[in-house]
Amino acid sequence: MVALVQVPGRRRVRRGSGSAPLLTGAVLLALLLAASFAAGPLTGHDPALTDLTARFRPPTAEHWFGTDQLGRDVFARVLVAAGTDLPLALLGAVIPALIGIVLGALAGYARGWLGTAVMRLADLIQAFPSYILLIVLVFLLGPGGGSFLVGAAVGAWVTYARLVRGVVLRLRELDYVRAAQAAGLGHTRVLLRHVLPNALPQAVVYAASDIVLALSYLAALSYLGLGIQAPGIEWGQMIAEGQPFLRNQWWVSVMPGLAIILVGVAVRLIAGGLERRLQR
Amino acid sequence: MTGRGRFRFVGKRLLQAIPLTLVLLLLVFAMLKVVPGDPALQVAGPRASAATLEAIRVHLGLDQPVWLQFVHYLGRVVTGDLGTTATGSTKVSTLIASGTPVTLVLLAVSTVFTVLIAGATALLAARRPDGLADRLINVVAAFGVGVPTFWLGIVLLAGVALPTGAFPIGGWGDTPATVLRAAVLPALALSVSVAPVLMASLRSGIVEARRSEYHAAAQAAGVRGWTLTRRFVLRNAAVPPVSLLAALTTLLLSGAVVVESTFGLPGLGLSLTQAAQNRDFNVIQGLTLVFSLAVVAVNLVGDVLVALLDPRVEV
Repeated sequence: MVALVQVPGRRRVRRGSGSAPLLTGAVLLALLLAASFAAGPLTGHDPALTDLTARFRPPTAEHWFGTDQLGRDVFARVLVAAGTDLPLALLGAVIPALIGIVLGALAGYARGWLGTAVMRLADLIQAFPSYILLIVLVFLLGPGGGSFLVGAAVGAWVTYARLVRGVVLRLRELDYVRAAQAAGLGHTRVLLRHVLPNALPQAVVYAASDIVLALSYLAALSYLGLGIQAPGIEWGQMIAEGQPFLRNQWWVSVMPGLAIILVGVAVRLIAGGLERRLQR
Repeated sequence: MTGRGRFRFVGKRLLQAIPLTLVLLLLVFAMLKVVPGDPALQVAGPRASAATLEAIRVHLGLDQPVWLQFVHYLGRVVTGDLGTTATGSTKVSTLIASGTPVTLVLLAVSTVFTVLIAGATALLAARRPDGLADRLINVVAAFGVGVPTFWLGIVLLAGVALPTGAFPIGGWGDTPATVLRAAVLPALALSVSVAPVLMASLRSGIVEARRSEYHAAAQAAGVRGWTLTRRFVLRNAAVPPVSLLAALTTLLLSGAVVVESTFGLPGLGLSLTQAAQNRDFNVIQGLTLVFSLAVVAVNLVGDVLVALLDPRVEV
């Protein structure tokens, strides 16, 4: 999968604790997740209730995001979908991060054939267009959230592995690591206690911003009919369901996308805040 | 690098691509072994007798050792025989031949848009580093990456194509003019997500070129305005992004797969998603092969271009 070689918005690290953006982003995500469990009471509409007398109502005070082809409240459904999208996007970033950190640390610390094999594999995966890799993997495994997670894990560990390997390669030559080895500490202990903690901050910042990428993969897969299937509710799937009615009922398709963008903003704030905190 | 050194570099890089291509072929071949379900059972249907299944296995060559199956697969690939679609009506190679020009046009138009958007914003942002425009562009670019391409496509359909009627609501054209018109909106949706990456690289290149001694010397020699920008800034700022070329093309190709579905463009990407939806194994396998070879080629061309443009690259 192609990593964004130079992620815009990252080049300037301003001074400051970073607490304000970190908190804002975290609160936004927490609110969205909490709202997904209380979508019915919050909107006053049952997200699953079809009402054919209320089809295609445009956005009003009653239905903030309008209603869809079955008369369901789009806002309530967007909120419910957050309960699917947010946990999966989070896992879609965390699982590859863990795999990549472990493999990268091994490749950097052990070098030799193991390191070479891991990095060759990384080259191969990185050269491949991410959506094509995802679609082929989901085809092999069958559609669904689980396949998405496997696809994300296979495709996205590469960036972490490179990042961590780079740091580990640099650190293993440093005196304090040599000293730890000379003092007779085992490789596992040296790696876990003395090397890895220094490689983690960067990986954590990247994982935070990677949630956006994972979410866009999940939404795209579901949009293509290869991800979350009905009766599950997911933003990309909602966008696909509304597309046939784009001419006169644009809100059915357009509104769920706003939720994806909101998550993007929140995640960007969290990643930016984390970066400032960790670089102090 | 001397002319001869360049020649040797290109030759060496070509040779390196051969084992990679073989590995990819092996992986694509192995897909058949990973896909759940018995291929013979899929051909024969669930009620077939054991004898029929065995006959089909022999017919498909599944009774032979795996390495021989791979050799046979290689032979078929070389002769362009990738099997037929699940319905048996179309050859996979025909499908690929008809989809390739669509995807290539989409990629070409997207590349033009990406370069235009990234170039204009980078010049604007680099005019005063850390100024208002720079910060604004940086924020928009940072959030722009998180906007799903297919959703942007839908917004363009609902907000531009439907109200104005100037663009088709989906599908492809049959004359150069209608083809270009059909490609504009999907290409725009695609480039918005890729342009920020190129913009960031170009911007830092421009800022660096403006701070350089040759820029100061040119200025002192009386070179002004657009000539100064074109000859002394852009030409030097364009070198680092060239190394991004392969990565950017891969990003565009990746996005094209999704955006082709949004706009119903009959390209390779739409075939891939439809085949995944219909569980059409031959089509998926054939397209994966084509995409793999395309990626190898793109990276090869990218590396060679960098070597030709940048004399510092070691042979």
